[in-house]
Amino acid sequence: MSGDTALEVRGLQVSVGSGHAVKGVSLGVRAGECLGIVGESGSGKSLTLRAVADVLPRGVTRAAGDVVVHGRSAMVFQEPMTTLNPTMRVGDFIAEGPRSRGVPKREARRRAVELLAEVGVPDPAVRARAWPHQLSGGLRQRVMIAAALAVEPSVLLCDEPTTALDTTVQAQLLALIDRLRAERGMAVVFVSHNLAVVSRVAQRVMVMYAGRVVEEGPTQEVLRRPRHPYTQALIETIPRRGVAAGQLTTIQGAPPDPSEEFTGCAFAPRCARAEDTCTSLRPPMLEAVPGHTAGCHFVAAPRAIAPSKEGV
Amino acid sequence: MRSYAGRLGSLLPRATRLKLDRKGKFGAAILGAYVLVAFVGLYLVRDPVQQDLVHRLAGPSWHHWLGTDSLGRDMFSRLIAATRTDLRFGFLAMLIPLAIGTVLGAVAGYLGGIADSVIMRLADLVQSFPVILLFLGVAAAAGTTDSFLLLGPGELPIMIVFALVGWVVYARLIRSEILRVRNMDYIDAARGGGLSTPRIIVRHILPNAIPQTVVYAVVDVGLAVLSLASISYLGLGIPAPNPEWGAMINDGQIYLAQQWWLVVAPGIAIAGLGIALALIGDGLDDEMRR
Repeated sequence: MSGDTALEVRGLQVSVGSGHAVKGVSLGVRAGECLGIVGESGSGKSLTLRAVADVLPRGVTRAAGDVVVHGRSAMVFQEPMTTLNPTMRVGDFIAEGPRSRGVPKREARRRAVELLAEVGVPDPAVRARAWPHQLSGGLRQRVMIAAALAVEPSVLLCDEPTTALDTTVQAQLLALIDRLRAERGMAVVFVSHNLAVVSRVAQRVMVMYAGRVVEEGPTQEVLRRPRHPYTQALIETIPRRGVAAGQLTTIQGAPPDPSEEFTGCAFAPRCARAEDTCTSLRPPMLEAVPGHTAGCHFVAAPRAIAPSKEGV
Repeated sequence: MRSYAGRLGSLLPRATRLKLDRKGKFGAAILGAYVLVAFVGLYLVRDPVQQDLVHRLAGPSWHHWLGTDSLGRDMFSRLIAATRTDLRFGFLAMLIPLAIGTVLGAVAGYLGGIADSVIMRLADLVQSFPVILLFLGVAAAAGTTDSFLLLGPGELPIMIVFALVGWVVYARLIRSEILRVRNMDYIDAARGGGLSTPRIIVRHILPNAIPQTVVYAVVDVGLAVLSLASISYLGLGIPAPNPEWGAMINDGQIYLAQQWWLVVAPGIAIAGLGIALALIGDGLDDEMRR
């Protein structure tokens, strides 16, 4: 877990129209490490990932910041129905990466079959000749991962790769990504709105809200002792055994418009313990314990959401 | 880098990996018969322009299966000869606009911006122009033009009008399909995988953008034949004495009351080809939606 740095991002800003959807994100991932990025829709987590992969949608641009990839990056997308070219056999699709870099056709095809075997596709030689529509969602996502591995990436970028799949297949794919990371010593950045999913693959987790990082630390540390009220609320929304449907916790209010600018903390309008300072002054990232930081004025007193008893 | 021209050869079977349902296969069989007639028919019949003024307007007989026209020419021979003219013209009048439209549409769709604006305003301009005026303009030239490459006598000026006008539909089709396809995740995946722009366009965008256009192109052959027949009927198309279905209908219509087959035979030929192409196009479309 102490490899060299594979990916460094400093002060990344992504602009959408006139506003910024990502407002200064910095992160670093070492070889063999998986960083999870968690947030709601519009938190900027996917755009951060796409900015790293340089595949931002049209009209969306990287306004500021540095992205340094040591080696190559490859991306796995959310929707396995649309990520495979329907007019190509999946083996040829996987072979596109090597072939575009001058690997001969036959050699690239052989490589594609090997990669299919590596990602756990049964009958890889037969499946390489299949069309995308002949494969299940789980198999397609494995093909997508094989296509990503075909470019020999040092950084694997995963944009909600298991969201469109059912739970059993999801668990298999998470195990696969975890195994590939360990075997290949790859850095992995795993984006999801689902904290529970992220906690199964990521050693470190970053929580994003309204285009900013609000908390970052070792996964278990963040899950057990969340320092930011947003992270705390997020953890409380995870369904648990023994809690009947209808009793699930929700976070009051709605996330802000991604391009909206706040003078203070973006979460303050939805925060149970917000004070005047929260709306007037943006909290810096404060270190709670070494390696665990949160962007909240009250990091030092993490659990004191209710008024403290000393005052009574 | 290997040549992309070579790749284009493999693009078509990839792009047209389209299946036909039963009615489509029926249409393909009819079209096959037309093509066969166009290729070999001319060698089996007599001279289609040989006049025999003694036997004008003869009825169908063993000697003249469809009788003779007002100049005593064998109608069956003319019908067969016209098949070659109309079919060849129809396919070229599809392929040339298709080629121009695909390039312009791909440029407009992929580059966007000023290129897109210029090309699409040009398309608006062409589309708003009354085409019949163009045909009137070239009618005089058609009478004096010789054969040119694959085109028969008088066909070049007409083909130029078809090319000037016909590319618009293809450009619009390809452009809109490219706008759809270029936002697909697999294009992002290809970009993220470090593929070059030409490779992305030729191997990932065009094969996915073309199928809808293929469906239209098939039907367009029929439309082109119908257009050629229409302008020939108006006397603005293929000059006499070269056999062409529309011109034959024009020649025969004054004898409609007595020698009705002079009009009906070429009429059926046009309708049959149109139906065959429509069935194929419809069959391709149905299979694509499946």
